[in-house]
Amino acid sequence: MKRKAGVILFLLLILFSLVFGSDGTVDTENRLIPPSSEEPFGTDTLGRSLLGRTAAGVGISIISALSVTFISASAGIVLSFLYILPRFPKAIVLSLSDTLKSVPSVILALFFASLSGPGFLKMILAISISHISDIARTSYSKTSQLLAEDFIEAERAIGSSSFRIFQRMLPHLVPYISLQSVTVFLSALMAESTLSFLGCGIPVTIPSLGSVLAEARPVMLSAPWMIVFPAAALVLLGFAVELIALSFSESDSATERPHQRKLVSIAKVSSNGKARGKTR
Amino acid sequence: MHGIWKRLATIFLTMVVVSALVFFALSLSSGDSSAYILAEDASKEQIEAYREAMGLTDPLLLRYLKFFVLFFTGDWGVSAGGVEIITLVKQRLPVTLSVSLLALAMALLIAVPLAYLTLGRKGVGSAAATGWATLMASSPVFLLSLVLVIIFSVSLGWFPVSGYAPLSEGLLRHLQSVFLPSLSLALLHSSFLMIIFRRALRENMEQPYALIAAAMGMSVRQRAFLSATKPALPVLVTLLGQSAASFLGGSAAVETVFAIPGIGSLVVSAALGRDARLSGVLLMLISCFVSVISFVAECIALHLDPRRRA
Repeated sequence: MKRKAGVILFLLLILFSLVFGSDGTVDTENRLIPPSSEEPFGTDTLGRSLLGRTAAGVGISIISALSVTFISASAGIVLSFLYILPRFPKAIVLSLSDTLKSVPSVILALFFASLSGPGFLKMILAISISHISDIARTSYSKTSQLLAEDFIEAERAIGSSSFRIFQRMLPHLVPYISLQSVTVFLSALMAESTLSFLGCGIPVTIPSLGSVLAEARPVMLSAPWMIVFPAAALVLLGFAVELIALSFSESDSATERPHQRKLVSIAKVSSNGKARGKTR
Repeated sequence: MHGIWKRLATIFLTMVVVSALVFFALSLSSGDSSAYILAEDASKEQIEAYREAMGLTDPLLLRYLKFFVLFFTGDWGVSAGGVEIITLVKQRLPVTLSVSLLALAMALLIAVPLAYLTLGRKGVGSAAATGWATLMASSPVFLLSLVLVIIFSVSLGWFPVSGYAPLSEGLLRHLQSVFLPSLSLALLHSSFLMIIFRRALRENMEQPYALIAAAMGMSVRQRAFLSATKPALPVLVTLLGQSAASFLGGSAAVETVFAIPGIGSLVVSAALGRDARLSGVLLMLISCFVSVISFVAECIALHLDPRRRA
């Protein structure tokens, strides 16, 4: 129920961004016009349509949060595979991830921006680093938990390759990775909008929700619509993702009863073992 | 004891990794300082002499070691504005500490009572608290502070819109100027604290010792205080330690919104002014600070939980 509501809200926001999104044309004659039937969200300090800029900002925010999510989730999957390999230097990766945990992603992104100005890729990299360090730790505990299970023991006993073991493990990692992706998406969204609001995230030429809000701040008392609509879009976006995250953590605790999982894994391994025995 | 030494080593390792990142990023991106310290028409010999004098001709690893040692002696160099970085930090640190400590106190004051009050899984109160926490957690902190400014400063006029009054101008004015920034940080963090502390309390309420207490006729409230609080406290302390990073990251945005001269707004102005040296040093300082805080939090959690000491 919650997941459905969240997904529908999220898709509606994407649709909104695709239909109305535009950079807007500068029209100094029509600056700061309150919302009307012609301009449903009003216009900004340069006379650009706020509807278009808000919608474009929603799109940009989703794209950057998705990029961070994609990088972090891929890192999580690759690391879970590497953790299976017996000679992989786990200790080094884990202590590196412990050290990176104390680096706040916003401050790191600000440092990157101070090197040679703000940039999209730099921001994505900075936000991803702290998430990857987080994922490196949690995916390790998840993987080692799975490695102790009987069905992995069985795979090892019949001499399966590490990749094969990883394939067997992957279905059990999926719920964890999806939950992790949703939470990463949410915090990447927060970090991106904060950085763009500060003027150190996405270059100001591209409208993002953060930068549209930054433009609204000096005039927020005389032109409240400048702040209300982008803020509402941002909160709605965050709320949609939060709803999906909540539904995941609920279903996670409901389905992850250890005895049930054990039964499934035993059934799987026994049918597998038979099939393999026949082919040999 | 073994774990504590390992954690202490992590602090040192953090400093090594972060300082290496900062040092190599600085030396790769800016070339070297001869380009902007010397005049444009400086001769080759002059540049060479300058580089020799500044130690820029030394091997990279040696320069990194020097950078690392100098950081611990407090010799952080000069910002682009020509001010010693250490004086800037000394000026700004009390402001950030004041805001952060007040925020921490407020977050706990909101989260802990709320966790106890909404312990029951069913009921309007519990659902309302969860919904409120969800809303707080899904809106960025700068937006929260903007909303607080509109409500409390503009509409009600209780607090200044922005600006900072140091303690020397009177306690009341000081508190007035840092109240809203602290509240916005506190509202955000109290949501996580409330949710996780409440979950820990609920889990401990189902443990055998709490069930025995229930069989002996203790009420829910009594059980929450007497049998669930102590085992749930380490969770709260650890979480506080872990949120230090997001506290400092959030203060960058909040201090900028309220125009408060703290460390956070210094990082933002360094980034906007392309002062890579200043923001690099601040990044190292903040990371050091965060790892020390989380170390202290873990020690306290260890002390609170005898089971983890063995």
